[in-house]
Amino acid sequence: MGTSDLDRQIEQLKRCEPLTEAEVKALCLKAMEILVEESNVQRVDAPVTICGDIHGQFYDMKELFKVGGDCPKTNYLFLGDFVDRGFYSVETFLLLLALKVRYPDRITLIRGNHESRQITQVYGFYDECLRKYGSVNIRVIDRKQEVPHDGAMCDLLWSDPEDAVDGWGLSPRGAGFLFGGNVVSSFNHTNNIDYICRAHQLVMEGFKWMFNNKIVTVWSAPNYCYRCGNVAAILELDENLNKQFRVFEAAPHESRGVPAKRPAPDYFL
Amino acid sequence: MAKAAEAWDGPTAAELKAAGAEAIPGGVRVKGWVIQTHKGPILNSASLQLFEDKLQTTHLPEMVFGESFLSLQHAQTGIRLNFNPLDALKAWKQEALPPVEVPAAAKWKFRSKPSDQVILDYDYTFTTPYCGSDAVVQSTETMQTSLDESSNLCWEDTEDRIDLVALSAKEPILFYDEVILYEDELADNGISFLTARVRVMPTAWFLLLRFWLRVDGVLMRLRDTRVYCCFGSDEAKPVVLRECCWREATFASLSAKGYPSDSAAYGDPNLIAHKLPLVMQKTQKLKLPN
Repeated sequence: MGTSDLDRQIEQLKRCEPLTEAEVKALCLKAMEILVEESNVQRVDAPVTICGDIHGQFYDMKELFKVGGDCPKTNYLFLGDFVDRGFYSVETFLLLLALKVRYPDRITLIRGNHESRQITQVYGFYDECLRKYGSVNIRVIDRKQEVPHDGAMCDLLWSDPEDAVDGWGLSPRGAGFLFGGNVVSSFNHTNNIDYICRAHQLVMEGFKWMFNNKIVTVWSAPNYCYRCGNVAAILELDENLNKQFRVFEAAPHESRGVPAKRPAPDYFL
Repeated sequence: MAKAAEAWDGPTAAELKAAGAEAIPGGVRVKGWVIQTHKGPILNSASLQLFEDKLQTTHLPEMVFGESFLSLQHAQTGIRLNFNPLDALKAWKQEALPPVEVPAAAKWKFRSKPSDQVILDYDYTFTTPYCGSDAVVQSTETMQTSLDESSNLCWEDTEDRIDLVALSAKEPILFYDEVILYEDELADNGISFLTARVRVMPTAWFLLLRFWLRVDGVLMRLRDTRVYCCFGSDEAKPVVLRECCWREATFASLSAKGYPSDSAAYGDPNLIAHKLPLVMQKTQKLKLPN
């Protein structure tokens, strides 16, 4: 697959037009080659722009690129949860994947908990693949494996910060850890880092600091599920690691494929 | 949600006129009733803080549409029915069901854990027995989104039933809307939401307040409240019926009956409500204030 092919595919995907199944397969194979070479702890150099959840909101991701600049001009780090919920998980994920293959050093994709077979089957990506391709083969997003219910991988993908505890908490669901301010402080100290930047939780203002600026949540899906009315944010770090949050709103209705709907009356009982 | 000309343009002027109704912002005025909805965004940090203070908890659904409501007011009697997230969450807090363990919890129990671990035990499913707020309001100008818990209205048990045959007639719809009051994705372990839907026809209004919960692999819970008012001959004495219907089933019991046990099969509560055994059902009639 040459760069001219790739550039054509990227242009096509930017118009929200999906690729053929053969193209998807080739792209996934290539992406797999690149991703398996990456380490579990990925080093990313500044300047870089950090992005949170996208959830298949393709036209809103285009707003993101408008605000943050195009790849490869801007370096990007995506914190996962590219798929599910929105209408265009396929196009969203393929565009990011194509950018990864085209500019491997300019964009880093890490995996969110939605990039797993079990979750996508419930929340939309799986069905969208079936609808658009008639089959599903999303093995490429497996970091060599599905997410287990135990161990570090599970903890990384399913733990959240929690105001109500200082140390560790167990979720009322009986699975999943919660961590408080003390845990974050000592983690930051041990690893000699200034703060943790994470995604995964919806925040109305697009980003939210917790525990005296020791951890920040970045959320990049504006008007989540097309009804929450929230703004989104990305975090730009310059070469000196100076932070700037860029807040953006959802793409205007005219620019997205789907018309705004007034709920059709329904003789519900 | 933005409105578009597509799908449904609302009732025609002729339909409204024939019913003696009048379209008003976000609603309709008909037969002495003013029926309105409002849809706002999810809580921002400041309003979230207000909710947390009022409810005395830091654990709220991920999406609380704090300003959204459905309201039905009857001018002559001062009856005001209102469906809003704050009162619904007050009822959740009060019921305080024990948490539901997800399937992964079984394995989690055998893991090594930090010694100073705190176990949180609030009801993260946000199950609520809420069936609406009501009050007698002297002036219809008073617009408060949350009503006092001390309600002035009284509901009495009745043998009357909501007239489903009449409701099945395809009368023109003068006003229709659906309002989400709150929603939570249970950290991707399923779904929990509370919505209110309303439709107003020339002969009646009807609403459905629905709490729906699916904890993947564990259980499904449906708590429906239907309220119905058939416009009678005497506009000063409306008859309002309320039916509460609670259903619940575990995934285990469904699969024992031969139903599918994967969550993907249970996306739409409408399609499976009848498969869930009845837990509670009662019908009440609104006692008119003096």
